[in-house]
Amino acid sequence: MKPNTNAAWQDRISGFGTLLVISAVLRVVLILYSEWHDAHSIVKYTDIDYRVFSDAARFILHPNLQGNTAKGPFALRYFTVGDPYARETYRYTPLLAILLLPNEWLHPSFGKYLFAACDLINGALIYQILMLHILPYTKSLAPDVSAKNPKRFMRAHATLLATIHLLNPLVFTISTRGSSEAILCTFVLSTLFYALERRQNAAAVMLGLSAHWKIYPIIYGVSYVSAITSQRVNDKGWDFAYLRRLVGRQALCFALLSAGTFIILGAICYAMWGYPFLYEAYLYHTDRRDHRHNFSPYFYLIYLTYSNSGGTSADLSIWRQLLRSPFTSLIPQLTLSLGTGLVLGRLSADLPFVWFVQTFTFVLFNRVCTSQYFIWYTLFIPLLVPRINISWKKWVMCGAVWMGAQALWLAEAYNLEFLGHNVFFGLWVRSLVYVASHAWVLGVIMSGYTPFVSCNQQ
Amino acid sequence: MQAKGFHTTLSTNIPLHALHEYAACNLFVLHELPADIIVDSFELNDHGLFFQFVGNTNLELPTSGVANEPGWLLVAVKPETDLVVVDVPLHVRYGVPHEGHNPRHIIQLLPPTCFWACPSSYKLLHSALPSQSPKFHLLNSSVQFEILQHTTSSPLSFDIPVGDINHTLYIELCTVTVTLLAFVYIVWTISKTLYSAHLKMQ
Repeated sequence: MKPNTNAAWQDRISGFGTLLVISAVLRVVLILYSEWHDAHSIVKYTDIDYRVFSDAARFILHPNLQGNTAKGPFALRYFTVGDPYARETYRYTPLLAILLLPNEWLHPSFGKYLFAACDLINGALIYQILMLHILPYTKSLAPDVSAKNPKRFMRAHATLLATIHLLNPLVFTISTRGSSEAILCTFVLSTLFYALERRQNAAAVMLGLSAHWKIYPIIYGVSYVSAITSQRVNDKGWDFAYLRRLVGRQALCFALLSAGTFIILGAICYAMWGYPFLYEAYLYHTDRRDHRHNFSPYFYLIYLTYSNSGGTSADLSIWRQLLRSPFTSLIPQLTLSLGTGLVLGRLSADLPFVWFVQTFTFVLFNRVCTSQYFIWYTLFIPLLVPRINISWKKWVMCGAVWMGAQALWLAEAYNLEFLGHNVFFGLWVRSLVYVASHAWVLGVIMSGYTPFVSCNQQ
Repeated sequence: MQAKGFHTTLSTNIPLHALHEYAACNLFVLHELPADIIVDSFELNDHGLFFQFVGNTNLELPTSGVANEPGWLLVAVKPETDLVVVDVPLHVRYGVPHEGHNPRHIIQLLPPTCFWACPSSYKLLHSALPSQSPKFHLLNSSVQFEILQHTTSSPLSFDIPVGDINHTLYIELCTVTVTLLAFVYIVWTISKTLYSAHLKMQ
């Protein structure tokens, strides 16, 4: 009876095209609702960041609106272009503001439709990666599937997994509220797709573009270099041949093309918008001191020591200065996010898993963490599910712990911000719970993951 | 009334008498706000307020990160009825940490100055705005002012919690300890994953 049961299961799953249509309709409805809601309520549905992007786009189109002329050397000499960085808290690449120029001349919600479209593209990329690179090599999926319709089974499975992303409330709420994370996810997934297709040059260009958009995707370069090195060295040991290939021609070509893309994009933006671009898009993020609205336990230390110019006081003992040093979080963060890339990247077919671990550890140990950061790694979960061998009870427990830690923190933050209770200490304790519980969730996922066996990946 | 928490709306009631006598004038509310208070210009736009703000526009810094200078918010009001209500959303920066059990900080607001601003051709008026208030371009065409009495505003003070600096050492130690423990746990789990992969390949 089992094969018939499986066939019935497959038949109940709609095609991927249907899923895309449902996802698109859902997003259009939410965007239309957001327009109605914002017009009738003081508390807006739209994220404040969308206002920031839209204002930045307006400033580009209208130089001299508020004395906001671009300050780059090229712009000063040849062009009169507006400065998006005249908008306070605009801390992104100017390319994002340029993408949203139609907000001004077409429709204010154009950006939301763009982000929603990126969501759909991401769903399609997830589906393709599953169909081409993961499901065909995951034998444990369907031991009882009839040999007649493995493709149909795979399509159903891939559609179900893509649903995790496309119908994830976190995902569609973020994009329809006007957060631009979907664009970065498109770049990252495209990089991953090309990497798995072994189209090295395309992967390098996409990685450079991703890193220009936000710096953190640089970490994926380490794992990809490790992966392409591993593909050319048969032995999986850490011998001289491997280490030599790590800095060999192929790896260097990839690194140069990727870095070159990043530098060219940065140079163009600097030429037009000058130091404000460098500072707001990159330098600001290296020394962020978010003392508020920040899941990381470092929020309280930052707040208590803010008046010490962000650094350690010279009056403190050496070990106190060490405790306050940013290196206490930076070293674990970089060791894990880069080290796992180097070490786990040797499992070249497991790039989605490696990138998930790298991103998770990067976010977990970052001194700043807001809800939007979680999408950077939840993006990869549909690609991992087929290869994670844990019971459904453990899945539920992981989900409950992951969400529960955030809910605990948010409840206490509400007590602090809106009810004025002195719960700084309690909020900090919940931040520690967030770190510990999310580390546990990562541990469960890693322990349950079944790596590809190398012979399957020729 | 005292606001608790970091977010509130300052509501000012302005009873107007002899409205017709000020037909050529404009009605304004001037708030002098301490450095602890955050004014979000974009939020005020959302509330449909017509205003000018002179002061620190950084929305993100704590009190210890800004200069101890007041901000000035001038709101233009349409006097359509005998009683005008002006609601201004305000937010509070995290205050300077103190010592002690459950430390708190009280922020007092001065009552806002409500006034008619009239052109020079108007009848002679004798009021003056606070001397330390800055020049506002919204008042460029007005040279005479009539300050209104009997206006009421609420809340005029904030009672906010602040961090306890006695926690600092404890926070430093435990934050680093938990971070390192999480790091060690993840490294251990990665080692297990690699070993499992190695066994599979064997």
